[in-house]
Amino acid sequence: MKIPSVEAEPLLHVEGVNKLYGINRGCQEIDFNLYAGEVLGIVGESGSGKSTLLNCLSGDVPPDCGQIVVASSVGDKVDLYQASESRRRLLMRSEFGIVKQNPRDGLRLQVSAGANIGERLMAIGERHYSRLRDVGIDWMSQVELDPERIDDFPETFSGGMQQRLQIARVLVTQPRLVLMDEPTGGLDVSVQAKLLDLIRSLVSELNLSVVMVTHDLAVARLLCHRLIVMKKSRIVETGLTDQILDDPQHSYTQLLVSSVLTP
Amino acid sequence: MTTRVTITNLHKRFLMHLQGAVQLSVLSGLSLTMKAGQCTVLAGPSGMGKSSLLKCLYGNYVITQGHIYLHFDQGDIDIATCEPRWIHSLRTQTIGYVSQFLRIVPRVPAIDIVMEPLINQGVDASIAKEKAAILLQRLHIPQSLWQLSPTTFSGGEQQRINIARGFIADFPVLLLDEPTASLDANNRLVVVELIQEAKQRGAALMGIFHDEEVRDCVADVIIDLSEYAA
Amino acid sequence: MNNQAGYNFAYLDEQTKRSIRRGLLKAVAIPGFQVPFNSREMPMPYGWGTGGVQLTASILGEDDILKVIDQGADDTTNAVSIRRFFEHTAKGIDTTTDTAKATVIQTRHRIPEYALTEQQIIVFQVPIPEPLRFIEPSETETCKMHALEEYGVMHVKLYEDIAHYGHIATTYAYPVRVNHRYIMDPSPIPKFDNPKLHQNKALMIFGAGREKRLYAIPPYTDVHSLDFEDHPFAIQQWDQCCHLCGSDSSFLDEIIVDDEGARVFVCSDSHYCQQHANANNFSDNAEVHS
Repeated sequence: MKIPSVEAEPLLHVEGVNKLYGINRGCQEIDFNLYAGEVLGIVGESGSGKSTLLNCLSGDVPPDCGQIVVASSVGDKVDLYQASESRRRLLMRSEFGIVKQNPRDGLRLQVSAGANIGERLMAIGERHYSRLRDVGIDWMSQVELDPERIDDFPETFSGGMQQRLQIARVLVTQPRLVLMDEPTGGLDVSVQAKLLDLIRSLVSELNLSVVMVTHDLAVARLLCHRLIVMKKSRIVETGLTDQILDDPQHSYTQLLVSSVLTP
Repeated sequence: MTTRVTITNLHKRFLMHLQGAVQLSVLSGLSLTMKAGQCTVLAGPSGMGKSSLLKCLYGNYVITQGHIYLHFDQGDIDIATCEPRWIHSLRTQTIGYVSQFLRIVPRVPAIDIVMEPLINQGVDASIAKEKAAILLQRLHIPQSLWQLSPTTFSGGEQQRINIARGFIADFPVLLLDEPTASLDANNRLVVVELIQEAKQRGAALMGIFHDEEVRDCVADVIIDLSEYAA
Repeated sequence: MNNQAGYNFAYLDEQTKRSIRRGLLKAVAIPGFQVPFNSREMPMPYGWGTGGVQLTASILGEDDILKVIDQGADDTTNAVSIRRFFEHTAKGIDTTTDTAKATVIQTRHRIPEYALTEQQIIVFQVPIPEPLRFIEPSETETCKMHALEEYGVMHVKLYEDIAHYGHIATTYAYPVRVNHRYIMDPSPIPKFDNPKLHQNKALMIFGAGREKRLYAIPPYTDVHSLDFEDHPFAIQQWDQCCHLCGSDSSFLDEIIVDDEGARVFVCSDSHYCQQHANANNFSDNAEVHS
C-alpha cells in the first residue's frame, strides 16, 4: 500500500518561546509546529497563558526569547521578530489574519461593513471601487450576512453577525494562517453553533491553517485536529484532539476533560 | 499474502490520576499481524481490551508500550511513535474506522457525513455524492433522510450511516467495532457483503462482532484477547 | 531697526526663526512629511493662522513683498490683520495685493488663480496637519503608518463616501500623495485648487501652529489627489460665471445679496477678479440671479 503524504515543511514553527509577566504567568518553553490545513487548538483555563502565546504569534508582543518562524507565501522563512517592523506588519496584514474575541476590537466601527471587508484589499493596493464592492458582497454571502446590508455600520449588527463580519474582513486577503481568540466566546449557544459551522466549512474550503485559543472543549472537539493543553504557562500535553479528549495522559488534562458537562 | 500491519508486544495501561493514581491495564504484551484480504476477529468477554486495541490502531488511544507497524511500499510507520500529523494523514488515506457510536457533528446532512472521507482524499464532490448514494441505498436508508442530520435517526440508522462512512473510501486497513450491533438481518447481510468486497480488494480488516453468525461468515483469523489480559 | 514696541524683525527672535528654517529645510528634503517644530505663543489665538504667521516670519527679509489672503480675498478681516501685523513688525517690507508682484504669499484656504513663479514662496495656514487623524486618533500609530506607508485607510474613507453619497464627497482638504510617497493634507483649500499643487513652480510650505507641525512641497513635485480607478478625481464646476468679472474658470463663492435671498457668484480670488474685470471691461450692471 502507498505511504500517505504529509506536508514536509511547517507553516509555523515555534521554538523555545517564553513570555513571562511573573512566576508562571504568561507562557514558557513553548515548542510546536503547525502545518498547512491544520487547526490547532490551544486549551487551558484562564491564566494558563493561552492569550499571551497568541499575542506572541500575532506579531504584537515580542517574546522574551525563542523563535517564531513563518513560511511566507513566496517560499522564504521569516523569523517574525527578527524581520523588520514593516515586513512583519505587512505579513500580518496580508498573509496572517487575527480574529479577536470581541469583534468590536477587530472591526472599524466608524465605517460600513463593505469598507471593513475591503480595507485589507485597499491596504495592498486595490483601487477599483466596483471590484471592492463585488468582493464585499461576495464575502457577506459567504459568511451568511445579508449582502443588502453592505453599507450598514457594524453597530447595527448583532454580536454573532459582527463576529462573522470580522471573519470576512480577515479572510478577504486569503491569509494562510488565521489566529482566533475564543471566536465563539460571549455568544448565545445557537449563534455559536452557526459560527462554528461557518468556521468549519471555511477551513475545509479554503484549506486554512488555524491556531485557535479556546477554553471550550466542545468547540475544540468540533473544529481542531490537534490540541495543546496549557497549564500555568506551560504545555502539559499535546496530540490529536480525539486522543487528548478520549485518552488524556496528564493529570491536568484528565481533570479538564472530566470537568466538561454533557447535557 | 502481504502483511499490512504488525503489532509487537503491545501494552495499554490507563493511569487515572483523579482516582488516586489507579492503574488499569487492558492489554499486556499483545503481538499479531494483519494480512491483506483477511479479516481478524477479536474475541473474548467485555473488558478484555478489544475496543481498546482498535483505538490504539487508530491512534485514538496512546500506546503505553510496544509497536504497531504499518508496512508501506516505501517503508514502515510505527503508530506508537509517529507524530500526530502522520496519524491524521493515515486516517485520511490508509486506516478506516467504523466505531460503535456515531459522533454526530450537528447540522451536517447524513449524505455529507458519508461523503466526507472521499472529500478529504480530494475526490470530486459529485463523484463522492454518487458513491454515497449507492451505499446509502444498499444499507436501506430512505432517500428522504439523506439531507437530514442524523441527530434524530434511530440507533440502527445512525449505525448504518457510520458503516457507509467507513466503507465509502477503499481503505487498505479497516477497523470495525461492533458494526452490526443495532442492525436487522437484512442489513447485517449487507455489512457482510461489504466486508467480503473489502477483503477481495486486498484490505486488511480487524473487527469485533458479537453476532456469531456474522463472525463466522467473515472471520479468517480469530484472536481471543483473554490470553493477553493483564 | 526701529520696530513697533521693540520687537525683533517679523516678531520672532532670530533663534526661533533659525530653528523653524531648519525644520523647513528638512520638510523640503522630505516632501509631504510632517516635521515637528517649536511653535511659539503668538499674539493671536490658535486657529487664527499662527502656524502660517510663524513660517512667514521665519523666511521674511527686508526686501520681501508680502501678500496675505484669506479665502482668496486680500480685504477680509484676517488678511488685513495679518498683513498689518507684518507691516508693524517687519519694517521695511512692502505689502501688495498683486499676486504677480509678491515674493511671499500667506494664504488661508485658497491658492491664487494666477500661476505662481519660481521666485515665489506660498505659505499655507493649516488647522489639522494629519490626514489620517479622522480614522486614527493615536499620534504614535499615525507616525508609524506614515513611516511604513500603511495608507489603506485613506481609500477606506473615499470608499465610504462613494458608498453613502455615490461620489467622493470630500470637497476641501482633499488628501494628496506627494512625490509618490507621503500622503498629505493640503489644508482646507477647495479640491478645485488641488491640481495647482502638482508641479507648481513655487515653493509651497505649510504651517500648523497649534499642532506644531510644518511640511513642504518643493517646486516641480508630483502631487496626485487620491481616487479610485473608476471614480477619478474631478474638480468643482459651476453653471454660472463670476458676476463681477465674467470669469468661467475660477473658483466662485456664492453670496447672498439681499433679504429676499438673491444670490450672486463671484470669484473668490479678489485680485484675480479685479484684473479680469479690468482686462475685459466687464460691466458690473449684469443681472443678479435670484
